[in-house]
Amino acid sequence: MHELVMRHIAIITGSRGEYGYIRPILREIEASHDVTYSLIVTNLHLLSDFGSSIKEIEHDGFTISDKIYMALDAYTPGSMAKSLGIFLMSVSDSLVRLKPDLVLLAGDRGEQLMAAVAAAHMNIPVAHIQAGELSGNIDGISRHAIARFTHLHFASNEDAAERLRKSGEEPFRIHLTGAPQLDELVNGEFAPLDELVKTYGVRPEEPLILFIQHPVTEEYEQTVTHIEEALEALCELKHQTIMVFPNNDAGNEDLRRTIERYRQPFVRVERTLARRTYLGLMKAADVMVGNSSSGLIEAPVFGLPVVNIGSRQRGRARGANVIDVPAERTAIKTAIQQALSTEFRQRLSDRAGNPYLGDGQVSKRIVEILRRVEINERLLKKQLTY
Amino acid sequence: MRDVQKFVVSVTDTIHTAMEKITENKHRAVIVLDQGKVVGTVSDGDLRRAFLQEILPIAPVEKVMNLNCRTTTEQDPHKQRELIQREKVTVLPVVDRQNELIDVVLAYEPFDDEGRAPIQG
Repeated sequence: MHELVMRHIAIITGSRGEYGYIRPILREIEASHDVTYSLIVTNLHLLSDFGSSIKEIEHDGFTISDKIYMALDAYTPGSMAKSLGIFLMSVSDSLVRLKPDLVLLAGDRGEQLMAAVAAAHMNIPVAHIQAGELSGNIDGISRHAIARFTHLHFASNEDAAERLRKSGEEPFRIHLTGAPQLDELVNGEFAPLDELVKTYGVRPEEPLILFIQHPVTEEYEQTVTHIEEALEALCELKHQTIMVFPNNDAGNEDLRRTIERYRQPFVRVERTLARRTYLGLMKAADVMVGNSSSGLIEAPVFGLPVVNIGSRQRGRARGANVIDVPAERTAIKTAIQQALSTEFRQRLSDRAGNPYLGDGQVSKRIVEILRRVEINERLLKKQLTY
Repeated sequence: MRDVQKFVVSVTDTIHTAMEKITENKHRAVIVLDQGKVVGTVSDGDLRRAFLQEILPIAPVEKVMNLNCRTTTEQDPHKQRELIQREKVTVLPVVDRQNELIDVVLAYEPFDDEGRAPIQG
């Protein structure tokens, strides 16, 4: 009997959004007999200001190999860059110690880019979920920087795959897999309405707004003005609203303060939400407002109308559920009213279509590729085709 | 109207300050203000959870406060009384339309320094 060779994959997660990308993959790996993982948890997950979402990872039962604190508490553009430097130093040591066969990254955040830089320099092949898409903000730039350090691209739609090819990535590295974060939605893994009624005081008979607005790094100076416009619109409408704190990009501290000051009896504020709850609220909500990518990727699955504010998701593929508005209160208010109208909802109900592929099998597909890919010179030596 | 000072801390105050205020007011909670507006409360329970999460006493109260604390705009003392019993909190902020703190309703009368309840008249 020959010994089974386990393929060892290191996975990095720093925010609740991309934890949603990797959770179905972690489950798939746990269920397999010849693949194993090391999970490196960093950034937002470790911060109590943002609800310590590491608790969700622990609750899900995954083994965490490293917790890396990286975020400097100043939350300025300078401290944000410096925090990434801290992570680059620490994750290099982790990878030296863990010796993974592959590093799996997801999304477009700075810590993912740092892990890509570290792994590629250490001759460890990098695989990247949600590769090749367009998005705004510094994140959009990071995503394409990650692509240069990546050896296996997992694209969630044909548009993204094509962009990777056109930017000089060799075709054999590009896999059109779909978006793994849609697996759980397709398979119905979200909190039921009665639970939301009990825990969050949701009143199902009234319209429910889900609000989440992150800072836009390129518009750091206007962070507060932008959210005030949205909050003014919400306060005029007075519908029950659940607000979730933003991520920790530069400007977030002012943003959180502003949200707290706009607290009203019809507003509930959460530091973070478990993914199961977040998806349940997306299903229960009548409209989602803000600039989260989940409004473009996950919301179409529920036929949830989204009022997308400002430039953070600029260029990203979107379905008919998204109404784009500038950060201006009247425009936001009008768009919310339009999104709440029966006509708009009706138009969506005949399945407007999701520009991201998700059939509930995406994580299976990705793990299968990670299991079978041969780690050899061809994989490791990158050549740009253009 | 009572002196609300011993029931309030600022959003930038430390957890240590909140602990001192709660010790002083003997009502197991304080109200957190930002520019006069109520933005949260910190209770003994919130402090206990912070302790278990190894959050230091020098951290700002903002990190541990309850963001969704109960408030009321009710002015009638009898209705306030009913409300605080129903909500099961020890300290209930009374706010105006702008969410600014104007008074505090208490569920229990304070105990004296020896921990005894005051003798009823």
